[in-house]
Amino acid sequence: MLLEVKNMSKNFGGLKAVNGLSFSVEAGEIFGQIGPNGAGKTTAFNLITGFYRPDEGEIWFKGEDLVGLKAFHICQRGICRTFQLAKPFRDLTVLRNVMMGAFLKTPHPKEAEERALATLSFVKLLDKKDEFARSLNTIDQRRLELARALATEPTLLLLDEMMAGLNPKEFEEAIALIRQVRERGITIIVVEHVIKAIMALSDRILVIHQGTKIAEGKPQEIIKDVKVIEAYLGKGYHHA
Amino acid sequence: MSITTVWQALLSGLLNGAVYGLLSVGLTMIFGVVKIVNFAHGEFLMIGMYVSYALWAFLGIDPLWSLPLVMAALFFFGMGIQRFFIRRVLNAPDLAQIFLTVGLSVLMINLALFLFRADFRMVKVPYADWTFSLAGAIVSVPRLIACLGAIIFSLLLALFLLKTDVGKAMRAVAQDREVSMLVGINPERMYNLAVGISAALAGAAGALTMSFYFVFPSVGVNFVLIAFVIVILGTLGNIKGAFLTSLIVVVAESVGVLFAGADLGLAVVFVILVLTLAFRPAGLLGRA
Amino acid sequence: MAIALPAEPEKKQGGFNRLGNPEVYFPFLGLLILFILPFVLPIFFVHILIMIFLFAILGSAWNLIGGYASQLSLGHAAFFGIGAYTSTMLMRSYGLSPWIGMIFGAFLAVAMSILLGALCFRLRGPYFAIATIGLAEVLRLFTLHFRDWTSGAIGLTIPFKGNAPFLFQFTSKVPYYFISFFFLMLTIWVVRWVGSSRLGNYLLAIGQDQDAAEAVGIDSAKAKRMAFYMSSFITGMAGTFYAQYAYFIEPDSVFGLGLSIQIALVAILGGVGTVWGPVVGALIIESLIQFTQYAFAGTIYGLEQIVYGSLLVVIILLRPVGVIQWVQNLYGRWLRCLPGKYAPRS
Repeated sequence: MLLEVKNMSKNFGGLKAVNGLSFSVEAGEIFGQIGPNGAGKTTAFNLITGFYRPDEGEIWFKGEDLVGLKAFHICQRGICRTFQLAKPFRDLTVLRNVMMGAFLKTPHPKEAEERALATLSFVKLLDKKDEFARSLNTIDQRRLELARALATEPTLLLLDEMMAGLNPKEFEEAIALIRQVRERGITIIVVEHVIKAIMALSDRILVIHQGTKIAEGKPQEIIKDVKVIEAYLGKGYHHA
Repeated sequence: MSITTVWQALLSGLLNGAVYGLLSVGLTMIFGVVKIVNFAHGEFLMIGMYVSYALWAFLGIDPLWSLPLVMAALFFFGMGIQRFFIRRVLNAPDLAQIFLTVGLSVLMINLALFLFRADFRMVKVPYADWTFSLAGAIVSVPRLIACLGAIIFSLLLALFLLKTDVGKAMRAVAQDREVSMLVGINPERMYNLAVGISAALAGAAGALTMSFYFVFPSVGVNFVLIAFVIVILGTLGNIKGAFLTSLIVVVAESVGVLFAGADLGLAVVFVILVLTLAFRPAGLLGRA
Repeated sequence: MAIALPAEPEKKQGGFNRLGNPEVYFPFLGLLILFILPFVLPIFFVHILIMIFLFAILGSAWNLIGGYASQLSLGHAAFFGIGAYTSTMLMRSYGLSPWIGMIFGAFLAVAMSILLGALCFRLRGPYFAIATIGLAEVLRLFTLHFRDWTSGAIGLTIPFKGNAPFLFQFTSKVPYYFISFFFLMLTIWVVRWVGSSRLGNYLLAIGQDQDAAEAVGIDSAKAKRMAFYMSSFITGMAGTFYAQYAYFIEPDSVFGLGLSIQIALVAILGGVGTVWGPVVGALIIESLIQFTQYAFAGTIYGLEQIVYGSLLVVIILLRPVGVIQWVQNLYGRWLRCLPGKYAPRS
């Protein structure tokens, strides 16, 4: 068990965004998280990666409880995330953006540059290495986001809605790329709205609704689960 | 250190605190509405004092009577500053916002230096030396008048913001600019008004003190540094907080100098500031 | 029909050919000129150059946190004053050579920045600026207050010992010129090193998007602190230099808000976050100021400061990124006019 989240809760001024959420992620798997809008998926990400502090609960990773650690500490321990709305370093080049991630593993600029180039090649963004991040289109910005995270050589990678708004070709490329990331030995948690993506990628899926887990299991089991259907479509759709 | 001394310090602190309050509510209002820290706010006070002085020196008008004129002049001046300068950096990074008003401050102080020289100038009014005793402490009438004036104007401001449509519109812009645009409020006009009113209040604060204090080009600097402490402690944008905190801070300073020495007054205030910024950046009343 | 010949591959200038490139030889020429200048120029101009070097150093140091780490300080005079007063007081009381006093002063300045950083680094933008103003003001007031130690408003003079290199004193301006020049080169080297190192890169990232930076493992507080310590160290040393050069210090001039603003202005005018920006800024501002002082010698009160204020407002409104780009373009054009094969290396 690589990551174990126990009973995690977070309150925002009376609104329980995450409510007693518990799940675990095995090393080497692709773990999908789905749920309706506002279910608490991104909040859960923010909690795990240290951007928010849980009010309750524990987050066990490599034998250590991450609760209370700052975001950069958690990244240094091997968990890296992408942002739903990509946050590139806009006035810096693509290469330099990725180097920032690579610097986690080496203090030497030359070495960081080499690693960054290798990562850019992997995500197929090498040809744009000298362009400024602000001039990239959305898809490439997401690639950049991924490359930057990969450069930190994470053990666990959290991808926040990378697949939104892709055309079929881009979609296939993205799926393939994420699978290649897993083949490098990186465990991945994928949060998605696009059901097709989650079904294609995930070994197991967690369904979140109103901040808690309502189902967990293999993709085939989930789509048949009554509670899941209710959450997404409402109580009248059992027969669908 | 007798109880009388402390009582005197307390009383002086309260009287002075009200005037600082008038200065501070303007500063905090600019922050609340326009979302910018006005490093040149002290210069509004300074200009108010010089205008008041000039009206007295050349036309013999008592500072209290020329107050409306001073306020009107500062009102338009403030609007001008907003319209021609501050407006251009509203969406700029912090560096631009900070150094624009810093630059304006330096400019204004030194233009005053150029025009009036560094001499301390005072106004002589017939009631300058009137005092009376209050439970053993001496109250100076001009200071009392200034305090009352400050309270009155602060209350007027509160009334304006709470009861008038324009005031409510300004508060709306302070709360949420986008939404207020949706209901037809013009933020630009609100910004102009906010800075204009703040400048007028600062000018009033200055003019009110002309009967017992003196003006020199950098008089605003000391006042405004204390005002910064006050508005931060009282939570930026919170007008009630600013006024109340003024009283607290100035009283604290008055009592503090009894122990630390008169020339360290500002130092005491600043230590309060740095400690506040370190441990409660949102101020005494705010959410962190 | 003409046959198109393949394009000649770009030949990199090799060996002695490089010497013909103005971009290479002109800096050497420039250095040579700078070395000769103090011996041929009138004293007044040597003084201007020393002031330019001093403010270039101060501006560069400010740039380390103001430009690279985006923490805007309006209180750098605090470190300057600490350096000036520490070495001076140690020298007057214990005869300690200011060369050593300078190190003490610099470390004390760093200690002060550690304190301020611990208390106030979480603050952004204007709040940090206000805190720095507070720090410098408190130090100024303390220096004024504790007269028994610091002579308060009267100020401190450096006891004149003639030409005493070991006591950091010279009768001629020339040694000061070379010391400040060397100091400037050292500072530029440090700034360049920071810029290309991991720390420099991290500071860039933090300036762009602090949250994204933290998401890739950057300890933004630590990076900013490092920059801040370097900045205060250099500024403290510059304070000692100034004390030894001017032979007189007093609270308002070395701890004053005016000085802090001037330092920031140098970096902003030249170009925040660039290596040569503060140097250019210092060049422009100090020349302007010295000329103003000379031409209007005290007839117009506050003229100097009016210049500062106006420059600040104008630059912020018209060219907030500073003039370094224009200067670099001009420099490129100048190089093109020089004899030799101009081949830009960058």
